[in-house]
Amino acid sequence: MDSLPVLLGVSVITFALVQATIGSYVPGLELNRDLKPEDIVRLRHAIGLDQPWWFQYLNWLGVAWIVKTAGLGGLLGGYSVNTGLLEGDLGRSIIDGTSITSNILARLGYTLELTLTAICIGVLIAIPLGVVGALRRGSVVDQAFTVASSAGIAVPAFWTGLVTILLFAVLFHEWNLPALPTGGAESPLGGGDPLDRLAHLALPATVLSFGYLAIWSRYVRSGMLEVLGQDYVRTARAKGMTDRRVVYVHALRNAIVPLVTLIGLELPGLFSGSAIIEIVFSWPGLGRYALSAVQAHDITVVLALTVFGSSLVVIGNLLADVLYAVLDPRIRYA
Amino acid sequence: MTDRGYDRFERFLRDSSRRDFLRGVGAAAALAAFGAGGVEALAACGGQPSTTTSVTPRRGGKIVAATIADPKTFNSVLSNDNASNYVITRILDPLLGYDAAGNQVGRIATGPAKISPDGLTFTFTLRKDVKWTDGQPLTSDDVRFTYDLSFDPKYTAVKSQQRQTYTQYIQELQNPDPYTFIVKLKKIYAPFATTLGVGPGILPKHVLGGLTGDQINTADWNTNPTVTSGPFKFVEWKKGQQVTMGRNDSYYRGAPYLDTWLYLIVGSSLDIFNKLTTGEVDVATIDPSQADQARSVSHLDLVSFPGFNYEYIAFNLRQDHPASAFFQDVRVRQAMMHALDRAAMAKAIYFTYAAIADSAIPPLSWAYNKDATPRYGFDKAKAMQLLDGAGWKVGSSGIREKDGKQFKIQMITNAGNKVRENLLLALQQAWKDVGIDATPNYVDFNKVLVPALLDNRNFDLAMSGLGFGIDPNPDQFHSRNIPAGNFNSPGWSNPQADKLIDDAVATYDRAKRKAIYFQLQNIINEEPSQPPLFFGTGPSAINKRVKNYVFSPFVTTSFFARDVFVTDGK
Repeated sequence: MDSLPVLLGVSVITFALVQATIGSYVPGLELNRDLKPEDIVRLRHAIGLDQPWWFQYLNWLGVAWIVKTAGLGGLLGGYSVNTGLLEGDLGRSIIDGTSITSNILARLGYTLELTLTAICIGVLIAIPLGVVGALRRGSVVDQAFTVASSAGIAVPAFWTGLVTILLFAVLFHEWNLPALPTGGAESPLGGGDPLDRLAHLALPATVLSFGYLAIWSRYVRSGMLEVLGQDYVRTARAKGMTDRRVVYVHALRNAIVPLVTLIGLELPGLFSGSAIIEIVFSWPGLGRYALSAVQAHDITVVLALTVFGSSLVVIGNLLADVLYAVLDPRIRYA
Repeated sequence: MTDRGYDRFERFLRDSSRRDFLRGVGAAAALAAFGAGGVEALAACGGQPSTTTSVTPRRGGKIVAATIADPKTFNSVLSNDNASNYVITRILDPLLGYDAAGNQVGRIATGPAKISPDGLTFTFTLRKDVKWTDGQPLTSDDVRFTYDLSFDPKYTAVKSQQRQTYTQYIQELQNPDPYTFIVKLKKIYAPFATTLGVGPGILPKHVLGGLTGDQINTADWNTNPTVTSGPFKFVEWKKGQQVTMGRNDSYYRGAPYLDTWLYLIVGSSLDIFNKLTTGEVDVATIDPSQADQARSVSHLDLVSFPGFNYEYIAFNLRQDHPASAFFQDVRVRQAMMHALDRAAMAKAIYFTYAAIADSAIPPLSWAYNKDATPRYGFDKAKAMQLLDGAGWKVGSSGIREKDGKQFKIQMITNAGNKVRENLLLALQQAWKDVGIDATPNYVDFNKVLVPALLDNRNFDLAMSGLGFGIDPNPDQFHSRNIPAGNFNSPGWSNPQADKLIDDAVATYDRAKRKAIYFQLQNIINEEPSQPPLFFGTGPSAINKRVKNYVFSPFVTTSFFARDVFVTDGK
């Protein structure tokens, strides 16, 4: 329940920011000599931009609907009222009049497909990398991983993306090698079978996982180093357990607690953090949708996506807390 | 560098010098072609407006086009963006289309409207064999309904951009029988002769007729247009991915050659370019910076032509604005134009894909006066001389002064538009060279630039782009458009120009209009107020396997899609 004021605050700030950039024109319109001032006034009216800001906000939030349903419509100054967030209605885009909920649903699956794959790749590689790095601390292998992960953190994803596209899609095609597609989520015609989807997914998911991988493997490594030096690990060893059991059962479970926090915080990133990758790889996900909405000053879409994103931050934090308790029984919440 | 690398480098040098030569020749030839009103001549030099061919067309296969922006709506009355229009022009036919040279050709109407002797009645005769994809006949009911969306008071809520123009000039719409559509005007409005018939694609009344204006703005049909009339049928729109269109076998002009027309929505211009290279995309507009690389791809052709939009600057001439102290004297504005080396800017900023604008009327228009005077070539000495003559003398700081006031101005354009941002930097440098201190400012388009240009007029000098239709009427120079909301941003008023602009729209006689516009262009050039700087000629690339694809600014509504085919049938 603590999170509701947070969400409300986020929506107020977002609304204020977007409202501040709207200006007196019609969002989405280029300058056209044939456009008459009367048409501009009418177009602004049609999308409700001539209403006062407080009404636009209350209407979007769904409060105006409640007030009107309660028979107090007279308080609202006679502006046209529709259902809003509180009624479960994310509204319609002010630019094209399409339903935002359906627009989000159309893209959600693609974003999840991309980010979940990337996270799986990240986790599956980061944990062994971190463990090996910790066990062979200072070895050539460890140092190589350290350099690679520093590079992974330092090199921006869009650059890695462009280079991999150039190599595996464009140049491989030119050299008549089996090439991957340059971008998109499936072949435009006759695509959509699992193999086709996988071919399209391979590059963006791998490149997106680099960033996760680089950071997460460092966390696992340092967590592991810390845990390995603790008494209970020594006790376990003294009891005569195999090294493997000590490392993978006793130590690892504690070493990856910080990783769970990170992945939990990554939840909103599941939906938006991949925006750059989505642009570079023409992936039809939510990140690209959000960016184009911001560029087009599509207030309602930006608001809907921001509230959607911040709800995910709240939920992500909650999930991480629950997972802690599962992984470490000592952590209990009152 | 490998041998292969050297080869490529050499080829690049050779090609680029040859290209520069070709372009020099091309510009002169193109200019002659414009004068003669023939676009076809363009094909002989540099650009290639269409991929017309003598190869026998074959059936089957697909074409893949690409864009960055998602379409917004497939409702022709609501649409105002290129991506939406690209799809709409393939699935909905209007009364008339344009051919590659900009002439009207019949589509749902059998031919251009019959105009009554008094010029106030336009009569369109419709074809009797046009059917919607659900089998219903397309009649004057549908046509009238489509035009009513921008005219009938009960549809005021519909987000049409035409309403003011229609209600200002149209008296009433009539459809006396299923195949006759009549438009009665209040007074003669010359642009209607070329634009009224080439209006919105006709919409199905039997699908949308029962909706209110508000409901039409958000109708399901807008994003899932199942009932259409054009050469291609709408199949599917995957948002952020693609629009799929399929052949309409019952198209009244005969089924198109292609099975499928795909319109991909991709993330960046780089991805468009990659996909052109690998053959995943057949045709798209490309970034000018990619043109050289595209030229080295053997299966691509490059096409460029000046379109119907330009980048311009507006001097604030309003007496209640402090900047008018600088710009009021016409010699100052002339000097500032002469100080610009636009050829160098076109090269550096547009990668040569821009035509220097010598007139507010585009070179492709029949009304373009290629001899309009004066012209503002790069002439620094003349600029200095004009400024000296206007009383602005170079002060000790290197900046010109007059009556103790330094020549310092602020320039604005919209942030994020790289071409305009770079142009402002070039202007700053060019004007600094003649002693004018002009500071570039990058501002938000909706929040600052548009209000400055259209409402509060709070700017010294502003740069933006302006788009316009096929009719040349340069209405933005009329003093009637000085009040807020209109496009005479500088506040320039010239009674002679006003009269010429009014006279030119009061006759349908093209020869008369042409004579008036020739005279008008001289006046507008003589007193620069919102002078155009460049017409963009942004390049497009097309795969050589595609034939009969028409490029020209006229054909955004020309409906050539039926004739396009691919030589490999794939």
